[in-house]
Amino acid sequence: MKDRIRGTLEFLLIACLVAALSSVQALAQQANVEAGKKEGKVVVYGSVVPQAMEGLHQAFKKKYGIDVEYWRGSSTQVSERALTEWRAGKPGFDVVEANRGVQLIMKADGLFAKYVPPAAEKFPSQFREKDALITPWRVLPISILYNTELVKAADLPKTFDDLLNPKWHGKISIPDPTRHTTTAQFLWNLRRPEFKGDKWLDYVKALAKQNPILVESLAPVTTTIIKGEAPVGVTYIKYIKQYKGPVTYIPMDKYLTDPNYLSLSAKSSRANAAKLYIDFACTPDGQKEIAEDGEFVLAPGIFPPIKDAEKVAPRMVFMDNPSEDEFKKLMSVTFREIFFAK
Amino acid sequence: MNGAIALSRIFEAPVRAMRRDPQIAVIVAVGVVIGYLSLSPTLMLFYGSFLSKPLGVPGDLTLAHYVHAYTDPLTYQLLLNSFVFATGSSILATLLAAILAWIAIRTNAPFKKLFELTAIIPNIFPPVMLAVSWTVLLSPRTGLINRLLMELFNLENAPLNVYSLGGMIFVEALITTPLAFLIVSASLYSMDSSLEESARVAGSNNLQVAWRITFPVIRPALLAAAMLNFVRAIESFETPAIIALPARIEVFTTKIYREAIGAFPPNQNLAATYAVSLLAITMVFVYFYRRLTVSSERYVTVTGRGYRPNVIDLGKWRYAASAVAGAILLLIVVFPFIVLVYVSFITYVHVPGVKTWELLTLDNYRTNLTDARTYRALQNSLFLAVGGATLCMLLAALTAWVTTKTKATGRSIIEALTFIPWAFPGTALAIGLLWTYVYVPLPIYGTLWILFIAYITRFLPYGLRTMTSTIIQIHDDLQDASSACGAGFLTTFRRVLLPLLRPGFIAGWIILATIYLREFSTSVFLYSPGSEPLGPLLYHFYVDGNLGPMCSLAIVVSIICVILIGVAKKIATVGHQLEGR
Repeated sequence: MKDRIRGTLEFLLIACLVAALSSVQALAQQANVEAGKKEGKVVVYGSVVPQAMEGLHQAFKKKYGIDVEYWRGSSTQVSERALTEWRAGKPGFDVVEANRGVQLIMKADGLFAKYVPPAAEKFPSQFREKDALITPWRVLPISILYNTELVKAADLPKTFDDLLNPKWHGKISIPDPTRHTTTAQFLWNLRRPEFKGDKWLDYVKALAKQNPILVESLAPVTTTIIKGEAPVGVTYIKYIKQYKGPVTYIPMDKYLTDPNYLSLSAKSSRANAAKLYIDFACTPDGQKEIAEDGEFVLAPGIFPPIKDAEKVAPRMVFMDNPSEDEFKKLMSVTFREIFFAK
Repeated sequence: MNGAIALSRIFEAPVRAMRRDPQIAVIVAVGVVIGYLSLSPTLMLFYGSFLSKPLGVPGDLTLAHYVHAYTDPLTYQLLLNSFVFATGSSILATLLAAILAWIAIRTNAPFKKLFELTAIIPNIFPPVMLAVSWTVLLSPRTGLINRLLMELFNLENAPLNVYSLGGMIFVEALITTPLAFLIVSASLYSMDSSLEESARVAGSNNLQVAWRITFPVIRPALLAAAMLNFVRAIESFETPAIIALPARIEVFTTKIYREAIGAFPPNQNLAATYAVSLLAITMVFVYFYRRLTVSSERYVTVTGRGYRPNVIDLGKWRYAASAVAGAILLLIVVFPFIVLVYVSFITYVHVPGVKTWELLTLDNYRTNLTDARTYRALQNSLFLAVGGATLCMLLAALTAWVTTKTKATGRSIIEALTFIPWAFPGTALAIGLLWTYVYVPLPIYGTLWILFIAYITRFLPYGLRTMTSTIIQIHDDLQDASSACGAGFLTTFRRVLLPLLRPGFIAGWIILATIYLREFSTSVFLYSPGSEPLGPLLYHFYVDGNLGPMCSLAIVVSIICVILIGVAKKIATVGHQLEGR
């Protein structure tokens, strides 16, 4: 009898503990709206160009009255800044927005706290992160963009192979893969069987021989094309909406695609405002706001106002992520030798 | 307890002395501040270069970063590139400045006063913008000058390419010509023209006089200008940031940027190692520059003989001289300014044509007015310009007073310490400060205050230069008379010295405020989101391809510079009038 009572009591105790822990965890994940409003602002380091974030930030402010202090850099710069501040013990960010490659590296350094925004529950299951430390919210398919006034229809490159044609020598713009992580990742992903397979490095070498115009990140590739400095370039499709000028993209069979994530700082002093921000970005309202500005998003049925955008989505091939050591080797050695060889 | 008592005994005598004579307190305070500003980033820069672990992570001391840097053949390539770039641009800038100064000051060329005024206008443009303007003009495929030349001469390929070492030298030379002009023109103004007259009486023509007399007399000034421009170029990050990357040319400053910010993962230890090397190079050159100029700088305003250089009659050649001066000014002022205005009013950069009318817009200016980030950057830069320049000039005034008017024991040490900021390249100083304020337990890292400290440290020599030359003219009798009347040191400084120093103070303040408003190469390493000033914002606009907002903001910055200068001059006039009552 005693044993049964003891067993029952033990069971009840464990059940209570589990329930209590679950509710604590659930509570820890929920944003307190009033507390968030009191926090007043949220500091976001992100890789989206500011003009494309304006709508989202205004809508967020309208809904919660919370200001967004937004600093934009390439994913490389975002992670560099966040890591440096973190290691120095002085993180200035509440939310980090960047591509998967660098988010994984920051995650490994312990920068992020767990948070699953309720609005992200409806995203495709392939994007669910088991540890809940990073939240996907948009995807960035890469293609060839070209200047519609300078490149005739007959001359259009249809594939990445076409860029190796001598007529494009010195007329292609890409970011410097020794400084830009996403470009290093993109070139490395050409090894996938859908693209160049084992011959990926030969392709990269041939591309380097075309003497491309190297710029800092993917955004200025677009303006290089608009200005006509390089009539063609490799960058995100979304930029044809985010930059004014005679530029559009080449439809392809497959698009190497870069998913981007939002993460909550583990040392955020404005955790509620930060959670509200991440959640709002994943709601249909938030997703519509950035889709309006050209972004491909994860919420089903929402597309950017880009021609044939709905046809792009099924052709996306998500990029694999090099480890930190692989990134180092690719950027400091492999691509440095290929692109900066005299 | 015993320790506290011992400590208080140690400080008892100095504290008593300071109470008795506040002058001692001021000297000690100036010494401590100058020592801290100069030594902390220097020592921490060295520390960072020897530390085995990244910024903020505890580690051991190692030579590995030096071994890595100096066993990498690329280091020698960038050393060569940096020297070619700095030497080429300093020679070209000094040559252009010398020609312009000679025509504007010593000849009877028409519009000479206009040339003299126009030559200093680039000092209000953000230097990043000047480099960007030249990429719009000389880009190989779409550069406006290239397109014009191709049309005119029916060329298939663009004849000029700004994305080259030659392009970098050309652009940097145009940016630094105004600085060289100021040095050379001061020398031309102060030279004794009786030597030239004697040569002319002896039968020499104008060219012979210029070559045999004027040139040797102003040779020290030319050498000083060339040396200063060399230092300015080797530490320059503006031109390399815009041009070197597409040209795939690495110089010291781009390498430091690459390692500290641009690389993945960043390596601030290696950045510190390269920064130490750059600091060593600039120290050598600044040392020789100071040896060349220190006496002339200090006493230039007290010669008092009121030389009026003879105007050389060029005869019919005066129009040709005007054309040459006009051409130089086209390059350093007019072309970049036209590009700025043009790009600021169009939707996207294109070769001007019929469609330009359709692409005219005010959106770029509208964006500046409504964009929160721009507004914040403007506020930050104005705070740094007004507050930073004022504090820096006060510190400069006190330092100049200590080093020139007192016989305090440590003044030679203070003077020696001011040499460090002279030589500190902006990029190296920034890396040193990063290392400092990650470890110093003060809430400075990641705030506007780190920029405040950086600006004061880096540009203190500019303030010192104007204050030293002003303060040295004030006779000691005035100070002694004030003391004899019973005024203490602080009263004498406030009521006697400061009013007399006002012209120098205002002149120095204007120079500093306009520099602070446009500063880029130090800020880009140190700012944080929220404390971002205008220089890095302009660069980010460029990097993101937003040239329209960038150019419109650059014009706004230039206008604010002019307003600051006007307000400072007005304050000087009103102050003078009030004193006259």
